[in-house]
Order: sequence, then structure tokens, then C-alpha cells
Amino acid sequence: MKYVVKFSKTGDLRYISHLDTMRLFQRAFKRAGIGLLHSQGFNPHPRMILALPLPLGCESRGEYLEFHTADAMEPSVIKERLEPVLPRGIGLLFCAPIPEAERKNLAAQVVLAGYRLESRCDPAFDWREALNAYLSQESILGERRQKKTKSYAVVNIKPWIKEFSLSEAGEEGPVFFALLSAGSGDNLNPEVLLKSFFQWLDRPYLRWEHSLCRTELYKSDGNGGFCPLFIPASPAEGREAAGRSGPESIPAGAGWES
Amino acid sequence: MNCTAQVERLLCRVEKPGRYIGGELNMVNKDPEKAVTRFGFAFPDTYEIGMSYLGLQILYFAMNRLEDVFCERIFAPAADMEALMRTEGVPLFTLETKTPAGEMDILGFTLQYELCYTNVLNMLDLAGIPLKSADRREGDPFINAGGPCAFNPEPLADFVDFFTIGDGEEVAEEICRTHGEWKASGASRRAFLEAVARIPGVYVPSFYQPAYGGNGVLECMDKLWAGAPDRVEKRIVEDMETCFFPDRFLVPLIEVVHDRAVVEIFRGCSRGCRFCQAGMIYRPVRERSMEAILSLAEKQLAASGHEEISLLSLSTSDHSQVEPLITELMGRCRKNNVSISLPSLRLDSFSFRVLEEIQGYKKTGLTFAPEAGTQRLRDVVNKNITEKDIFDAMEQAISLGWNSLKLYFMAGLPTETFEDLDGIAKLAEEIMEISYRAHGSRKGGRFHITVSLSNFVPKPHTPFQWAPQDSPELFDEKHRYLKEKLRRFKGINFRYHGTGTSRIEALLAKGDRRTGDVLLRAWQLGCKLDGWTEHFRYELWQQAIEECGVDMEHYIYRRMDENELLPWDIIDCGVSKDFLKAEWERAQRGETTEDCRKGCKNCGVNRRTSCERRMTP
Repeated sequence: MKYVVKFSKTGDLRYISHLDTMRLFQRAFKRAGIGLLHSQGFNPHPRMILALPLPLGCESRGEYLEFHTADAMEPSVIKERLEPVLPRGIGLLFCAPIPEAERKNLAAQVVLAGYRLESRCDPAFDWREALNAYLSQESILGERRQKKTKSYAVVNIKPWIKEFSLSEAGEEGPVFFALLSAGSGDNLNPEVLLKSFFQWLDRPYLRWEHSLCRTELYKSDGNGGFCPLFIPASPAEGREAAGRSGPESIPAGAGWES
Repeated sequence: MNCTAQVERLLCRVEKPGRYIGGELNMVNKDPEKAVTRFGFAFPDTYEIGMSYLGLQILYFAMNRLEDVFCERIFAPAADMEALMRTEGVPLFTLETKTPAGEMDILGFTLQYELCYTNVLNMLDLAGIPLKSADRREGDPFINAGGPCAFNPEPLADFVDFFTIGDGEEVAEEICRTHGEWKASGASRRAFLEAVARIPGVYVPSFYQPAYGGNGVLECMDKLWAGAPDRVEKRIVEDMETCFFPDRFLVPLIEVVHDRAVVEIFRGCSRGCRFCQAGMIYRPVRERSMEAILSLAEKQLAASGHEEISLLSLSTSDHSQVEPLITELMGRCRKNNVSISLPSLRLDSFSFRVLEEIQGYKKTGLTFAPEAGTQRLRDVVNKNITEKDIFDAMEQAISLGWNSLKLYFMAGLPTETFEDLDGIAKLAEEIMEISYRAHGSRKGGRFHITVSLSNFVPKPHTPFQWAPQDSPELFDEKHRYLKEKLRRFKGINFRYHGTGTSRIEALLAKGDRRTGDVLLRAWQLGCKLDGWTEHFRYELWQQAIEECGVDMEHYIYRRMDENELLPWDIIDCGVSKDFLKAEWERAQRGETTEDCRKGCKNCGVNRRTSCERRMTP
């Protein structure tokens, strides 16, 4: 049976890497007595996959873990058993079955990720104005780490920014919302965007002045718009929780470009 | 006070920030205000190494059982984190509550290897605690140290307020209780040290003053306080069945060196290899029953969710019920997709059946430790295996399909000559021949052997404690010699240890109180994380040795007289000096001493305890 859990990863747990998060869940399933299906072959490993790796240091309220259990179980039972054996910082939002008919796994469906970026710097500055000017550039340059060479390359990141806006002017500084390309195709790390923005502004980018939080992952809704990666069929399974973490869905043509 | 906010600012700027956050499953959290004794368990190396150490897990849960005690963990920060802590003025902190280490009542270091000593000093400095015991004042934490290296406490004697010698489970509790009573009494720092000095197994170095003769040899240890014991007897936990062992473990959130559940199946070893410190200081052998082991394994796996379990001891095959135990455990683990790791397995036919079963078609590699290349030298070190044992085991391994064999040897063992090095090459060569025969061609396919050569370091409380270490030049020559010999063979890899680390390790292992000056100077010059090849700075150690005017000849290059007083004689490790002397003499005659399960060899440990418990041959 295929299931998905949506969870949040907050506090110190943001310092746990993608691979460590996988291991964390693998052990949690063992502690919870939930038997996962293992892959066949020389190196059997449990069949589970996180929809999109989360950058180290970034919190999230919209993580998705897809897994296959050996036996069919009530999603509510899975959630009840898993909850008490997870470390503080991982919060389960819902657990739901994935229809057997679904061919593509969740990781393959991700196209966008939403982020809330809180900066603690210069609350008096006109951030909205600066944002508009930044976004109106012909091309927006960002430094991306190349996987193969491990060096940094300057690339145009503009095509991967679906939205970058000021959601509030907080007391300590601006709070931005960014909607960025994500998934196996193009993927933009929110830190690359922030760094690019601050460099363009000629301001130092000090990592500890910024709190990053992923709010939601999106897939295509089939009509040119986007919707959260997984919406449980029954409202009782946590539609409320899913809705709280970010904008419900994004209609076709939305974003700053339009 | 805690420094959560300060630490927070650093975490997004360092490698592997998960090392510093705590918050692991099963972590203990208590109200610091309510704890009478706040104990900082300090591991003088990084998180990944410390969290792989079973003793930490045992003592952490043993102490936290006590209502008035809150035991928290402290590790050495990696170089990048340390640099940031120093520039931003963040002190060394505990993982549980991010409390500055300097606010602990007692800071207990575990000394697992000599090359961590500079980390002890560095951690004290990062905590803002005066390095020398003599400079600490009322209100400063008490610095405690234990572990195998505490069996020669002298090099650290100026820095540590009190040492605990031997098994820690019971004495840790007694120290905490004593601390609680002392705190309630409002008495002086000195009064606490006098109180702990009365606990068996505790050594307070400031109550003793060494005196040296003109030749630099220790003449006597003068007692400065009449209440201090003449010699400190190591602590022995009598019964493994009733002694505390945690049924849950801290489960790290990041990958550590040994990321697995562990059950200690027995303590001690009866084999008597003459170079081995663990084999002497952990005597007598005390077994845990098969039932207890299985039950602990089950509880731990359930509480941790680990994918791997390891059985720990100095020689797994020597457990009296090893066959039924492993067979049963394998059955249970297979059902739950848990793998088993069995270090220190003797390569007999049962072991091969087990290894075949647990490794199956993915044979990862097989390690075997003949230690020396000729029978003569193996007899000298009392490694009771014959050439036939080695070849039989290797033949079996090759026929079962192992393609990668690793052989461990030591260079510089007492009485070693170049003929013994030839023996190593010959052994490797003959194992290649076995492989050629088995595979039916000279090519041998993917089959390869790794010959790993470490340098002999004489250790206190062993029959070889009087032996000189080879000079760095001689070690280098031996390495070159063997490298040249083995170069001719395709499929044999040769690895050897750096001579610099072995030299410093020997100095710190056999040092006396004056060695502390070199240690301090080396740290001042910038030495730390010496156990890490990339951080070890031999030239700085050299400089410290020269500046302090230390005569290396005196400490490690001369053959010591059996009748001289040794710096570590203040510690009674259970095994008698007479036994060590007799073994040292037998070694030089090339005479072996059989496993004491087959008959008592009068090592002396039974003066204080019984060896009868489950010592079935």
C-alpha cells in the first residue's frame, strides 16, 4: 500500500540534512512497528521517498514523504503510531493513502515550491520599491553551485522565479514570499535568490539574519495553474492543516510576470 | 543561563550543524534548577566519534537515573565551529540545555586514546575554566577523567582534579552522591577532594608529590595528605547481570561513525596478548548471559529503530554461548530487516558459517590480525595462533568467495628483526598463492589483500610496558623495507601508520607528571584534534618537546628496569606487577602462556575478585 505523510520540520531539526531525514524516518517506522516494503535486489532498502530535498538550515511546513508498507493499514493508525516516536521538530500534518492508480510518484510531480523568507535587517528601508526594481531587470543573476564541479556559476535565475514579493514589513525587517521552480527539472534554492537580491542591493548577505521556511510544494493542476502536491480525499485527513501552511492553489497566469 | 541564542547565530555557518543541536531521540531533559549535581559528560573529540562510544550511553543513562543529578553531553567542536565560537565569544556548551560548560558542577572527561589529551585542554580553555587544578577556585567545576588512559593519569595530573579508575557504572553514582552531600554541607573545594579520595577507585593527584632521582627515574610518590590511599585500586563491576545497562539509547540525528545498537556481551579478556592494554586492565572476564543479551538487544532495537546491531567485547568468539547466541540473534534480526555486525570474531568454522549467513553474496571484506609475521614473534607477543590457523582460515575465506582480505600487523614489537618483516611478506604471498590455486589462474581476478601495519606503542600495565619503542628512523626504514618487498605483488596493498603519531602516543602513554608540560606547550602552539591525520602537527609537537627539554630516550627509547618505580604504579590495575614481569621474561624466551580459561595463570586479579563467574572454557 502506498501512503503519504505531510509534515513540518522546524526548530533545530532544520539542521538535519536530507539523507539524515530519510534515516530518521526509516528508524521511526521501525520504532512504530510499521513494516515498510523493501526493494528487491542486492541492496534491499525500504521504499520511501521525500518529495523534494530541503536545503540545510531551511524550515518547512510542507514536506511530503511517500512510502510503501508491507501490509495495508488505516492512515489514522499510521499517524498515531508514528507521532510519539518522532523527535521534537517533526510535526505530522496528515497521513493519507495514495491511489494505486497513481503512476507518478510525488517527487516526479513537484514543479514549484513556496518559501517564507524573514529577514532581520533595516526595517525602515523601502523593500517594496527595491523588489520591483530588482525584478524588472532583463535578466537576474544568481550564483548557483554546480553539482559536478562544486564551483559557483553565475546564471540567469529569472525564469525560475514565479513570484517574489513582500508579504509584510515586519518590525525587525521585511518578510518575503517566493514561489520558485522546484523538482527534478529546474530547481532554485531560496538562498540563491536572497543572496542575489542582497548582492544587487549592495548589501552584505549575512545568513544568520534570515529565517527560511518552505511553506508548500505544488504540482500542476492540469489547467495551467498549480495546486498543493497532495490534497487528501477526505477533509478529516487534514485539509485544514494543508491550507494553513500556504496558499491553497495558484490559478493559471498568476505571479509577478503577469 | 544558557547560550541558545548565541549558538543559533553560528549554526547556519558551520559544517554539519547537526553536531551541536542535541534533541536526539531518548535525550534526557531535566529542570537544571532542580538538579543538585550538574554533570557534564565531556568527550574530547567530535560528536560523531563520541556518540559511537558505548561508555557514554551507559554512563549517561546510569547517572540520569538519579533524581538529583542531571548529566548532559559536551563534545569538542570541529575546527570551523571552534573558530566561530572564539571570535564571537561563545563558550563551550552542553547539547541538552546549551548551558556553558563552566557552569557544570563536575566535568567528566573520558580518555579513550592518548591523542585526545590536547582536546581536553582545548575544551577547558573554550569553557573558560583554568587549565591547571591549582589555579581553580571555589565555584569552578571539578574536572574529572576516566577511561582506559586514566590507568596512567600522570601526564594529565596537573589538569585534572580527580580521576576515576576502572569500571565507571558504580563509581559515577558514588561521586554524584558525595558531591550532593558536600554541596549541602557548604564545605570547601578541598573538602570535596578529600571526600572523593575516600571512594575506592578515585585518584586525586594533588594529594601526591612525585620525587625523581638524578637519572630522571621516579623515586617515590610522597603523600601530601595522610587520608589518601597508598595505591588506588581500579573499580570492578562484579556482576554483569545485575549491573546497569541502558535499554534505550540516544539515537543520533546525523550519521555518526558507528550508527547502531550495541550490546556488550562480556567485559575482559583471558587471552593475554602481551602488547594489549585492554586485555590486562579489563580483567577479569565477566559474561552477560545469553538471555540477558537477547532481551537487551530486543529492547534496544525497539527503542531506537536501528538497522544494525553489534555485539561488543574484546573477543566475541570467547563467549561461552557464542554459537546458540548468534544463531538465535540472526534469526530474530532477519525477520526484522536488521543486520548484525560482529567485530573481534575468531576465524573458526563456526564464524565462517555465521559470516556466510550474514554477509551472503555481498561479502564486504574480512579482517584478520596475525599481528606478527613469524611464529617466533607471535609466540613472543603471545598471540596464540599458528601459521596453520592462518592458512586454514584464509583458504576457507577464499573458497567461500571473499575477494578482499585485510591483515593487521605491528612493526617494532620487542625482539623484532627484519626476518619477521620478511615473514609478513611471505604470509601475504602465500595467501595470494592460495587464491591463485582456488581461482585456477595466476590472474586471481578481483582478489586482493591489504596488509596494514601499525607501529608498536608500549602501554602501561602490560608485559611490554618496559619495552623501548623503535626510533622514528627505524620505523621509517621498516616501512620502506616492507613496501619494497610487497611492491612486487599485484593485488597486495600496503598501508602503514605515520611514525609521528606513534611517537607522541608513546610519550603520552608512558609519560609522568613532567610530561604535562609538553602537553600544555603543544596545545599552546596550536596542537589539537591530534587523532585526525589532517590536524596532527608533528612539527609543533617536536618544538614543544625541544622547548621543554624532554629526554625522549628516558621516556620511550630505553629499556626500562623491571625494578624501577613507574609513574603509573600508583594505580593498581588488578593484575600484579610480578605477573607482568614474569610475562615480560617469558616473552623474551619466546614462551607462550595459554588462555587462562584453561587454568589460572596467577595474574593477580583474583586477589580482589573471583574469576569463577561463567568462565567456562
